[in-house]
Order: sequence, then structure tokens, then C-alpha cells
Amino acid sequence: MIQFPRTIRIFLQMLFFFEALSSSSFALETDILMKAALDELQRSSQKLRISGAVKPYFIAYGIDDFDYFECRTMLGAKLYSYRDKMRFLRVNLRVGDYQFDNSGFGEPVIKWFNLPAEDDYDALRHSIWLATDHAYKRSLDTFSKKKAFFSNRIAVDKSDDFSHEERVVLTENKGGRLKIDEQEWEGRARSLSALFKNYPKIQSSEVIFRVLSANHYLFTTEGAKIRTSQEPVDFGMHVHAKTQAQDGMALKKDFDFYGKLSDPLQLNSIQNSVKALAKELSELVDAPFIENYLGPVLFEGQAAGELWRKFFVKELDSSRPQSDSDSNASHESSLVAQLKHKVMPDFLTIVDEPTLERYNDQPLIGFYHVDDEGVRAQKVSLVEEGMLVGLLSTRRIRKEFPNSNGHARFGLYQEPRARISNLIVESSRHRSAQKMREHFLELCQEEGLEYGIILRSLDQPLTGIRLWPDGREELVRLGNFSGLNVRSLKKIKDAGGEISLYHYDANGILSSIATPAILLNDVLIKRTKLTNPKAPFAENPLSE
Amino acid sequence: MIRKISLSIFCSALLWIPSLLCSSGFVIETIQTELQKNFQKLKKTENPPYYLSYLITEIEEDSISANYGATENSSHRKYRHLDTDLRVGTFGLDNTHLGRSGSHGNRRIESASIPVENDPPAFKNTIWMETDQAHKNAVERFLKLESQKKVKAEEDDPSPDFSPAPKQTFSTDVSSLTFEKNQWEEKLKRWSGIFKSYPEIYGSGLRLTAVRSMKYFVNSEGTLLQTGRNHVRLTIQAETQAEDGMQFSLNKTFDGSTLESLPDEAQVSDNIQAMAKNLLALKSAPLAEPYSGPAILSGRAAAVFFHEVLGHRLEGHRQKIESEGQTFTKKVGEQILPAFISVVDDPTTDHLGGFELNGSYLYDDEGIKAERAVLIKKGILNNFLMSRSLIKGFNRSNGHGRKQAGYRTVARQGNLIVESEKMASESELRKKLKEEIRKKNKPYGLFFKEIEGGFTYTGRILPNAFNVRPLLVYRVFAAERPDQLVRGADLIGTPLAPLSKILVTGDKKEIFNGYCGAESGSLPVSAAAPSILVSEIEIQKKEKSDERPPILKPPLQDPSAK
Repeated sequence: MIQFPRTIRIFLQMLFFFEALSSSSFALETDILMKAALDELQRSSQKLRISGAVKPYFIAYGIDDFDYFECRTMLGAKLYSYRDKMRFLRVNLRVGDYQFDNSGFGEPVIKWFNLPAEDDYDALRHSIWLATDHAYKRSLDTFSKKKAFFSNRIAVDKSDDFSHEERVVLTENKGGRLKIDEQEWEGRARSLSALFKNYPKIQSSEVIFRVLSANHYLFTTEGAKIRTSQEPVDFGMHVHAKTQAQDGMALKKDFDFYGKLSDPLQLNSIQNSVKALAKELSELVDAPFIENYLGPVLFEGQAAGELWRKFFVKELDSSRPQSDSDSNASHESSLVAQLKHKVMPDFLTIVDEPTLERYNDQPLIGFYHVDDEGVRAQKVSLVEEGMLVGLLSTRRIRKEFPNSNGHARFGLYQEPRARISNLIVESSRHRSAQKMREHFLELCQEEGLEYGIILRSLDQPLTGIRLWPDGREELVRLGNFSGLNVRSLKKIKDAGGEISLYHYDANGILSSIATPAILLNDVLIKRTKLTNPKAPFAENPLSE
Repeated sequence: MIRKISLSIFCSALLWIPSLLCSSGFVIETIQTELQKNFQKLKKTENPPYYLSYLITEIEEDSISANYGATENSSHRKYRHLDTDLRVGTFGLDNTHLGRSGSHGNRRIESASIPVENDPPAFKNTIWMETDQAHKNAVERFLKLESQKKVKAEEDDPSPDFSPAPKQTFSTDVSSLTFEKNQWEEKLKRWSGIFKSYPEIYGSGLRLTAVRSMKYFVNSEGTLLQTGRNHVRLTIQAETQAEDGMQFSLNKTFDGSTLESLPDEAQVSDNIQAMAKNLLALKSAPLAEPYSGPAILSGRAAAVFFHEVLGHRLEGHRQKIESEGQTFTKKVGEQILPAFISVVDDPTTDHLGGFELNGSYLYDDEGIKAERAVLIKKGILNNFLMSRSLIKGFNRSNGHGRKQAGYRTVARQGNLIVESEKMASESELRKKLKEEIRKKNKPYGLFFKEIEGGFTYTGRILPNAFNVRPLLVYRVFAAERPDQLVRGADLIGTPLAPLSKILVTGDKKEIFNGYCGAESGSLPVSAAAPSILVSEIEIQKKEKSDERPPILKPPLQDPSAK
């Protein structure tokens, strides 16, 4: 694979950026939604105020315009399908000033509204007018409460409530309506779900197909004017299956595939993954249960990505927590206190790179140019040779990070928080998969263990592979991790083997994690349940 | 008051003719086969069920909403739900036992999505999993209840949790609603655009829903029922705010079974103009003051009043739940209303005075044929709304066990109809109101014209009260002067007092078609009543927001907005 040196890649992105900017002025004129929002924004910024009360110093309209289709299937039959057009407006209206405003005080600073799905100037503007009015009144209310609260208190971190950032103007071509042959895709989901008919040991299963075309807008009184429509992926195929083991233990497995309608569909590869999932889950029914395990665990494939997601990613948000009536800092990320400290072994380096579209020639789904607060996406160095050097930030800054690095991402009806985009974990030890296993077995031997546990996904309860010293592999059922947290990452003993990509969708926020396999020592996995449900009253009708 | 099961009722059921069913025969046949098979297999378990039923609800819904001249949303949905009612124990005591605290925590029933496509493996698999879950839950709950019963004091009403019922077979099919969606989208857009000429009306909109619903029911008693219903509803809604922050919202609904039964362009337009005028009048109307005195409730207002005050308190299961207020439980055979008033709940009729009734059905959700229940006969309490859960003195269902998909059945209203033998014309009614005002030496009386809906609290912990939310209330003066619209009045009270104070009624019934929410979910209902004159009713000030009206003018009306 040929990879551009980093500097060249950044240069290429900048080029794209400016190109998009220059070719857009024509399309702007015909975008009724954009015109309605900009006109109302201008009027509100000039005239919206209650005499005697503080006026808005910042107003932003974010609009998500979706054309959506979903189809849910099981065992070869459609449960339902539907098509919807939806528009959501989020108003971020701030009163006071950048230093001290209504944000960060219990009440969400972003207010969500529905907008008409049709491009009708009058109706859109009317809705935006009412939404802005409501948001202003709520912001005033919060502002007065917050002012009263701070009349007796001093903030420990005196950073501005809202950071000053460079203005971004970016208008991609407007995305059209969703063009999809619904019946064809229903058929695909149906036939994938029908594969489960051959696995009567699985009690229930579903295949859900979701696809959307979207336009995202952001307009602010600071002059940001953004329209993006290029999604890294536009559809997802989600597979869930559940069953019970012989001893009654509940088992489940999931699998998600993300892709673009415009790319040739890798139906064969999805089919194979579904079959592999079904086969594994069926075999797990009779697999032995290991109640307790303490020792090294090798995280391969998706499990390595999930390990980062569960125990590292959610601690990366550096934005200052809310200063609500309870003044304790317990909600703060524990990584903030570990800045410039070693948090993992020195062979590991981690970056988050939103503008990266592919890694190892594989598409990444966390890709974007501008974040949800209108800040240009930036590559952030998080860990350098084991040392924590950076965190993700939004415009709700803290003294350690006085600016946003373009990582504010919201799910529907959520508050802005800093989240990862494409997290790239690299190891300076270029070990082969074979070498990883050898190292793993050595560690097991040192610990005096008869066998070691390899995990390939972190579904609950955990299931994995028991690796015997002679290389024999055996499918096993396990309990759950006990006591594992971000500080456990210091016990990573090795990283290498094949680089795998893990993609996930958390509340509509897409992210990718690229990582080598991880060998972590001193992992405790113990049983979580004291009872299991009995087997069903009758055999699965599929086995009749 | 002797109640025997009358055989004739059940013999009149139509015979089930499979050939009529064509494609949809699949659903009823499949759930019947699976029921027999699963019931047999469960019989061999340690705690076998004594009753099992499957209900599949199939909904096909088109919905369009428009506001300010634009389509807000337009959607089409089709889905099916499977509800499993599995009972362990005996008719006397089973896992559904309500106990002292009532149905809390037990309102939901095992319920799952089932394919809209007629696919045997998917159906069998879903039914199997749901039956297993229902059985596990039922066994656990029953064993707990059974041992609790031994250590707790006897309940006031130890009536059985369930009652046997004869087998029923009936099948009908309902054709899909033909629906020119584009045309209707255009209509709704056009109509919603009328509000643009009323800058002081801030929010407004129209919604059209067209629903075809089918129900497929089988049980271990051999009952097989396939019923269906088409329902269309057009809603017009608009709101504004007075300078002091009080918000007003008016709405108007039109219900029917076909799109053709909805009003035409001119009628809709008239309704919108009238609504707009009323809203503007409300905005500048004087505030209502707390008041107690004589009043007329229009037919629709009276209908909601009866639904809340009387109807909910006559739902059978409330008579044996000990946390309920039980206003009427021990009043059977007693006079609770003036002797000229009778009240029935009649789901078997679907029209009244040329209008369609929303609460009609052929069979209830427990497989019982719907019956006209005479609740109040010449002012005397005669019967309750009964499901298959029995109460003291009432040992059979009268076909009022109803529920929304996903909920457990309780007794509910269908079409509540108030009949009167002491009627007066509208003008006489007004005359009598003025007489009352003079007699009581009141400055004015009240006329409740339109009503949004209401709610009632039937329990014991909070005061046992009702609240009816009027939209349009007028002061009526004894002297010759026009009625005066007032704003911000809520009609309140405890249930017994106002019922006994009805003096006379109007001579024309009005219908309130709506949806009623209670323990067993949201259900279509109707209430019909003539207008009533009551000697005393109480209103309180409506809760109001302190938010001021929008600061900027509507964009369309702001000359400086480009």
C-alpha cells in the first residue's frame, strides 16, 4: 500500500477544502432552507432582545435534514419497513458574553426542534422564529440562575465559557433525495436474515437495514456558513442474534456492517460474516463455561477496538463539566489529571484524525471536515510513546486546552461533547500475529496458567477462545471483566499482528478505531450471574 | 339483578368461513395451530397454564401533517404486534391478580413485533419465544401471589380474576383505505396556509391520519376472531398566547371510516376561520374568576364530563382494587343521578344522529361479543363496565375488556351515551339558566361551549377529583346582554356533587369522538350527551405560563425582515 507522507496528506485536504468553497456560490442561492435560516439569523441577531435583559451574543442554527429508510427482518420475513423525511433544528443561543454565559449550568445549551420537511420558505422561517424565541427565553432564565449561583462562588477554572475560534465557511453540493431501490434492499436484508433458518440452536435473530441521505447545516452569528452532505458511509446492516447455552446462560452476538450505496456491495463478505456469527453462536451453546480467569488476555480483531472504546475513548473528553449546584469534579475525565504522564507502554502512539478517509486502504467512518460547533476538524496527538500528550476538546474549553480542536460531535437531542472520530493506534513493535501468540503463551506460562484466553469481540457475556500451549483452540464462555479501567492500559504487554478496523455508531455519531492486536496482562474475568433462565418449554419450531 | 349467561347472545355469532379469508387466513390459521401445539406442550410442564390467547394487531397507517402552508411530515407505516395472554393458576386466582394496589407494575403484557409478511418460520419462532417468556413470567408471578395470599388478610372482594367464556367464531375483512396521498398533501398544505393571514396565531397545523387496523384473536377455549376497522381523522389545531403569558390552544377533529366522510374544502376553511376568530377573541378576553353557580354544558362538554366523572368510575376492575376510590361500588340499585337520566355504553352501534362513533367494536379484546351495557337506568346504578375479571354481584363480562397492543386488558368505555327524559330546547335551556342565576342571586352563569378533554383521578391518595379542560367558556347574564367570552377557566369538582345537580337537559345529543388513555393504553372512544343545565358547578383558574408572547413579529408580518 502506498501512503502519502503526513504533510502531503494535509496539503491535499486543504486543497479539497478550498475547492469546495469556491465552487459553491451558485448552489447556495437555490437552497431555500439555507436562505430561511440565514434571514432569520440575521433578523434575530439584530433585533431579538427584551429591554432590560441581556441580549444574545451568539446564535447558531444547526440543521440536520434526513431522508431515511429502515427495514427490519427476521428469518427471511420483513417485520416492517418505513421511509421518512425528517428535519431537526438545534438552536444554540447564548446570552452574556464569551467569558460568562448561560452554558454549563444544568440546562442544556442546545435546544432541539422539528422543522417542516418541505422546502417552503415561509413555513421554515416561521418555525425557526418560534424556536429562536423559545431558546432566548430559556437562555435568559438559565443565565439569571447561573449569575445568582456565582455571586457567592469562584470558579476554579476561569476559562471562558465559550472559546473564540476561527470562522469556517464550507458548502458542499447539496445532497439529493435518497435514491434507493427499497424492494431490492429489503430483499437483501431478508435473505441475510434467512441464513439463520439453518441454525435452530439460535433462539431469535434480526437483520436491520438502515440508510439515509443527509444535509447538515450550521449557521452562526459569527459568520460560519456550513453545508455538508458527504457522509463517509450512508447505510448500515445490523445483525443481532440471541440464544441460551445448555446451562441456561443467555448468549448474544452482534455484527454491524457500514457501507456506501455507491460502492459495489460486498454482499458475499456480509453473508460470510453472518454465517460465521451464526455458527459461532450455535457452537457456544455447548461450549464450556470458565467461571473465573486471571491472567493475560489477547485482544484480537474487533475486541482490540472495543477495548479502546470501553476503557480509553470515553475518558478523552476534556470539556469542562457542568458547574451545576453540586460543585464536585467527579464527572471530570480522569485522564485530564494524567496529562504528561505515562499512561501506557512506550511502544504505543495514538492519534485521532477526523479528516482521514482511509487507513491501510480501508474506509474509515468517523471522517468529517468541520465539527458540530463549526470548528475545523484537527488531527490530535493523544498518546506519544506511551505518554498522554493531548485530549479532545470542544468550545467549552479548560485552562489546559484553551481552544477547541474540532471534536464537538452531538447525537440527536444531545449536548455537545468531545468525541473521537478516527482513532488510530500504532505500535512501534512490528510483531507478526504468530509472534504475538508466542509472547502470549510465554506470559501464560510465567503466570503458571494451563491456558490463555483470546477475545475477538466483547459481547456480553464475554465469549472467547481458550488457547492451549500446543496451539489448540477451543471456544469458551466467560463472565465479565472485573476492575478493568483506563489505568489498566499500563499493563499492556505487547501490541502487533494484523491491524483491524472497528466501526461503530453511538447515537448517530460514527467512529472508527484502527488498532493492532493488544496483549493485556492481569485481566480478571469472573462470572456475573448467580442464576440462569431455564430452557424454553419446547424445542425451537425451526428444528421441526 | 340476577345475571345469567344468555346463550342466545353467543349463538348469533357468525360462523367462521375460511374461504372468505384468502390471504389473511394465514394469520388466524397459523396462530391457531401454534396455540394448540404450544398449549398442549405447556400442559406437560410443572406449572401448566389454564388459559392461553394470542392477539395480533395489524396496523396500516398513513399520516400527513402540514403547517403554515408546508408539509411537515408524511409517513406510511405498516406493522403487526403479537400479544400473548397466558394464565397460570385457576379462574379464581391467577397470575394477573390485581391485588390491593391495583395493576401497578403489571400493565404491560408480553408483546413483540411479528412480521408483516405471512411467513411460517418467522411466525412460529416469534410465537414460541413469546409464549416461553409469558409462561416463565406467569409462573413466577403466580407462585408469589399464591404464597402471599396465605399470609395476608382477606381482600374485600375475592371475586375471580377471570371467568370462562363460550367459544366464538367470527371473521371479517376490511379493505385497505384508498388514499390519494399527493392530493391530500396538497389539500393539507393549502388549508394550513390559511393561518398565514392570522399573524397573532403563533403555532398551527393540520394532521390527517388514515388507519386500517385488523385484529386476529385465538384462545385456548377455541375462539377464533378476525375483526377490522378503518378510521380516518382530520385534526386542526392552533394556538396563541395572551399578553400575560396564558397560552390557548384550540382544536377540532373530524372522524370517519372513509376519507369521503371528511368535510370538504369550504367546511374546513370555515372551521379554520372560526377557530382563528375564537383564538383572537380569547387573547383579549377577560380572565375567568373562580366561580360557583349555575351553568350549561354543551352536549360535547357534557359528554366529556360524563366520560370522566361517571364512566371511569364504573369500570369494573376499579370496584375491587382497594386503592381505588370506589365511589359507586356499593351503590348498585341506588339513585345516583336524577331519575330522568339513563346512561348506556354501547359499542355495538356505530352511528348516532348521522355521525360515526369512534368507540364501536364487535368483539372486545378478550374474545367477548360486545354488548350494550345499561349502566344507569332512570338515575339508578344498574351495571358496571365488565371485562372477564369479575366483581362482587357481577359474574360475567359484558364485552368491555379493552386494551391497546402491548397492554393488559381492563374494563373500559366504548360509546358512552347519555339519555334524558326531561328535555328542553336550547332556548328554553338558556331561559332556565337565567332563572337560576336570578334565583341564586349570581352576577352571571356560565356556558361551556367547547372542551378539549379532561382527566380524572379515581384513587384514594389524592382527592378523588375530575378536571375538564374547557376551551370556550362564556358568561351568560340574566339581563339581556350578549354572552361574554372568558379565558382561563378549568372545570373542577368531586364526582358525586355535580351529577346530582342536573336540572334539565337539551333535546339534541352531541358527540365527542376521541382517544382515552388509562391503564390498558390509549383507545378510541365516543361519548354522546345532550347539553345539561346544572344548578351548581365550580371553576378554578387555569394554570398559566409566565412566558411572554414572542418578542419579534412573525417573519411574514415584519416589514424589516427581508
